Amino acid sequence: MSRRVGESGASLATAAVEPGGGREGSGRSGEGICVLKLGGSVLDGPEGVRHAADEVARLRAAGWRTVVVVSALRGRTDALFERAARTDGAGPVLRDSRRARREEHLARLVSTGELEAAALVALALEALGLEARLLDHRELGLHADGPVLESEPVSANAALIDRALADGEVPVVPGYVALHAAGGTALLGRGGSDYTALFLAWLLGAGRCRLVKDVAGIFASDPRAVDGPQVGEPLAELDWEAAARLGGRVVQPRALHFARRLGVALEVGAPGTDVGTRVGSVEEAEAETVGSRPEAIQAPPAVGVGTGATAGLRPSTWVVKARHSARAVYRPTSVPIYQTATFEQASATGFGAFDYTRTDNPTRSAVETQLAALEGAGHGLAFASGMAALSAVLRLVAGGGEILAGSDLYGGTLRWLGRVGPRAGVRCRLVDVADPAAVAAAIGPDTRLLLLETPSNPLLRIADIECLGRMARERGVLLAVDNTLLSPLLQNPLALGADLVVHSATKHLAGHGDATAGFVATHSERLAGRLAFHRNAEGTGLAPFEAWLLLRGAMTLHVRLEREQATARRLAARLRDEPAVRGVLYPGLRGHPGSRIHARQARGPGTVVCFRAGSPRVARRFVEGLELVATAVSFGGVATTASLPRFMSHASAPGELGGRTPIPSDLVRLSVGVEDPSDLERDIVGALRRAADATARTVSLG
Amino acid sequence: MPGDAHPTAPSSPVPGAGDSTTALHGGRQYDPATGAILTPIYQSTTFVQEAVGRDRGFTYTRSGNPTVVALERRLGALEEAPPAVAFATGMAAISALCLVLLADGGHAVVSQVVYGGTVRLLDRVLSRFGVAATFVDASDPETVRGALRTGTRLVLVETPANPTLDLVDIGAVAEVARGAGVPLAVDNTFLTPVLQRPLELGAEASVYSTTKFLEGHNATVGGAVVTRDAALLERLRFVRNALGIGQTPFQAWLTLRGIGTLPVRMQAHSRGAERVARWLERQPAVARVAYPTLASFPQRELALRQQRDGGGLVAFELLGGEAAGVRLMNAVRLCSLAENLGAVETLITHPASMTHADVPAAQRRRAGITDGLVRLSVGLEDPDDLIADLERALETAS
Repeated sequence: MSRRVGESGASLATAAVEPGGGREGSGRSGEGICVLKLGGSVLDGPEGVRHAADEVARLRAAGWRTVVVVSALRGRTDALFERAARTDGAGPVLRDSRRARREEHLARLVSTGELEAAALVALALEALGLEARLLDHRELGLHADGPVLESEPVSANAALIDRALADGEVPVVPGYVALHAAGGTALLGRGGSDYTALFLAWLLGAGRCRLVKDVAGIFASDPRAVDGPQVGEPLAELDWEAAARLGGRVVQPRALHFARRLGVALEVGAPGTDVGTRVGSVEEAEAETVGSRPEAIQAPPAVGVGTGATAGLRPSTWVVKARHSARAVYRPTSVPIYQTATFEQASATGFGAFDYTRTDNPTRSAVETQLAALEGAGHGLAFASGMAALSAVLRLVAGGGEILAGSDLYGGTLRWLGRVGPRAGVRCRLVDVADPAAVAAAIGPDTRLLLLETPSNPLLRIADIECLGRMARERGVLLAVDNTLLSPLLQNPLALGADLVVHSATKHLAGHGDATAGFVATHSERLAGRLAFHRNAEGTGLAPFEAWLLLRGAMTLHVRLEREQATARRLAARLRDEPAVRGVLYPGLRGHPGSRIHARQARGPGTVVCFRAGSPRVARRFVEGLELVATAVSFGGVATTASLPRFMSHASAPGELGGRTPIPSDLVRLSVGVEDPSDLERDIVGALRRAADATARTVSLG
Repeated sequence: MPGDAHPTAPSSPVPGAGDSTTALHGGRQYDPATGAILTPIYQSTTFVQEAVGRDRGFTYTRSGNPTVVALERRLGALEEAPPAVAFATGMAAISALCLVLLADGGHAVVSQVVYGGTVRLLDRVLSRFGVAATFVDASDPETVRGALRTGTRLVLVETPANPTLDLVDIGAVAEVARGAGVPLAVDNTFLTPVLQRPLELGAEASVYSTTKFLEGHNATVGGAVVTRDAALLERLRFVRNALGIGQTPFQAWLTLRGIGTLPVRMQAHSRGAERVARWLERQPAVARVAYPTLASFPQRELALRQQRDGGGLVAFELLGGEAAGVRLMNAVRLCSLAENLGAVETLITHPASMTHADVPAAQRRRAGITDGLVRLSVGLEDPDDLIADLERALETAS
């Protein structure tokens, strides 16, 4: 049973990355992991503890790598609360600052209950010949946010758990307790060990999460309710709605809510058995095989296209909000710029989550989490530039292999395919990806990767991602889509079946023309691992400050895009009516080739409009005659730019690479920014008419 | 101005250019050395002089810096005024303005609903230097007139006011002030030039905390004064240099970057705030809501007249008063409980204990800043998500 992919976290419960923090929680393939939560009702004395240890041993014998979360022994938590009340006699009404301090002390006191139980369980495990690794909330970096006694888990260092499991140990984690974001101890609310368990299950991508209680499961009516009739058998399977209604006294409601939002399936049952109530649906396994050919990945379950965001948060909220990685210590609302090359190690042989910025950096990780969520992906990697990102993807193909690429691509991409790839022994061929039959014919025995842009740069040709994705999968070829032109808010190739999505984040994502960056997203942990390996080995990761600029720029992506696209639509229609224009290319215009496919697979026509000015001379005069609009390469920034692709961005395409779709010498590319639409229209139409007139006069004089 | 005469700089601002264009291009000059579209960050303390007494316009960053100048030009262009004077913080801007106008025993008439820091500055800092201030209900121009006296050298108002969102009729108060020969300064932080133009309405100066909507991303602090009065500009620059409270190059660059998207952001903030305000109005647990474009807003007509939109701030109070308000603010998850406003993320604040804690309680009450008042700065999140968060938090609070 694997996790529902593409859901990488809600606003608070994000497994964020921070010093001592864990990696992205979603998309981790922890299928063989079972998180077992032992309730206090089960741990009712030495015998109960011993039986619980037997339970763990049984699961391990059955092949599950087990992580144990414990509640305090039965009655212990109540006793501690009572003892506190009798000691300080504090009433319920306290001024805020005093109450906060009291709660902190209370949390610390109560946490001793869970620690006691965890240590006893660890001892019992050792007695069975197992090696227990006790990881309390401090060691685990289990951070939480919100009211001290009822906080929400935010992050934890999953790597520590992974390492313990890899060493064959049984991690034992006291539940209910966490580190408060403001410092000090926090509790997760009564019944909070359920929350700890579900949070860790999500963080680890566990294949199974079982909450062991003194009831056999969730009943149609609560067996502990005084008046309710007791039904003989617990319900075998519940959907989230039913669980919310019926499960509230058995499972902590906030924990259930968390699990529902993030799709963490769980079981509730009695000790000594595998039966009980299952909550949440079962997904089909994500099959991945490793061999001499990079195997194509089975299509992941459909992610809600049009959300990109997760757990009920819409994209425009996610873009602004999800940056919790660095909030743990001082809670700044802006992610700190970890402008550091290196990180101090805990010991000579012990590493924290970060050791060297080339490999990983907290500011870079924060933007990776954010952008991955926008693409609905489990994994994201940020690179120094779009070309660095693309190179890393193209390096997935080893010498002897072949890359098939679209015939209309960014010039820099073509340069790599024509000059860099061949030197590494990788053959590169171009094919018209707007024609599926041509692609099918072109795929050969050595083809490993198909790379395309849609809409393509600069001719805005459309390729059917879903169709080509299916074709690639059937033939064992990876599909990579360069999604720079539209941005994740307008198109999500992974959801359509691509294996990899690449961005020059310099464009829409950073959006302000001030940071160079690249980004790759994928569902596949294996591919992400290989990309990370190359990025580290070749030192092409995104620097901390650029990462911060990118993070900041992305926050206004939705408002920028909305305005830019509206203006682009208007300009495209206007240009079409201009006599000097010999054709406008824009997916939003009726009659644009492939516009129907585009409408199906994307959520808008984008912000780039191309047109043919009739002659290179008019084209040149036009761009040079613009006053407001700058003549510059790059697109997707807040300022409108104009360029002549043939002579600028695509001049670098090598002649050796045959099969390129030719770019007309009179083609002008406009990247529409956020300026006032009337001002832009005036400038563009004015410059166009002046250029056309001047050229006509010159011709007539000549 | 230094750097003015560069051959390839576009004429700026384009007369009649829309706000969205000016926000990006106003006052812009391409870097003379490289043509770089964005102003470089001149992260340099000093500038080599060609000869004694001869420089290229910049000598020492405390006195002037090209990146800061680029910001000042952009701010000035947004109000069709000369380049602004940029400061390290909003408080630095207000302090400089007060020092310049009030330093030797001057008197100021100030609206009683203002940011707590302004009250603190006048009552506890400048008062030691002979400066006196009278706080009045500026929503009535006659009250302002009544407070003027010989020696009054400044009328300072905020509209919408922080945090009650009470409005001041800028045109009417400007006329009163002008009649007495006293300059009117308007703190236009909440709306920014995109939504309200104090100078057009008759004010002498606009004052900003650029920390808020202008930069808009919670990344940096800053302040500015915009005015068409050349003498005032010169005196502000003098004080700024003498006290060393100017804006720094990097913060100026970040602020410039934020201003590029100011129009689209203010539009989105206003839309979101209005939706949230309308929703709050319908909730039984909410006692009252203030938002300039709501039908229930007493000064709605004035708002429609002098503002282009409602802005991003909403003020409200729950039926349970302070206790309920505090519970609500402790229960929200998507909204962040924090002191700033005007950022891409939604921020919720308790004025009585946070931003206005320095205002004496009696004065707070007179100003309508009740203990139960909650201030919400609506960000760029999807309003439906914000409403869902508030709904859940309201349930917890009740």
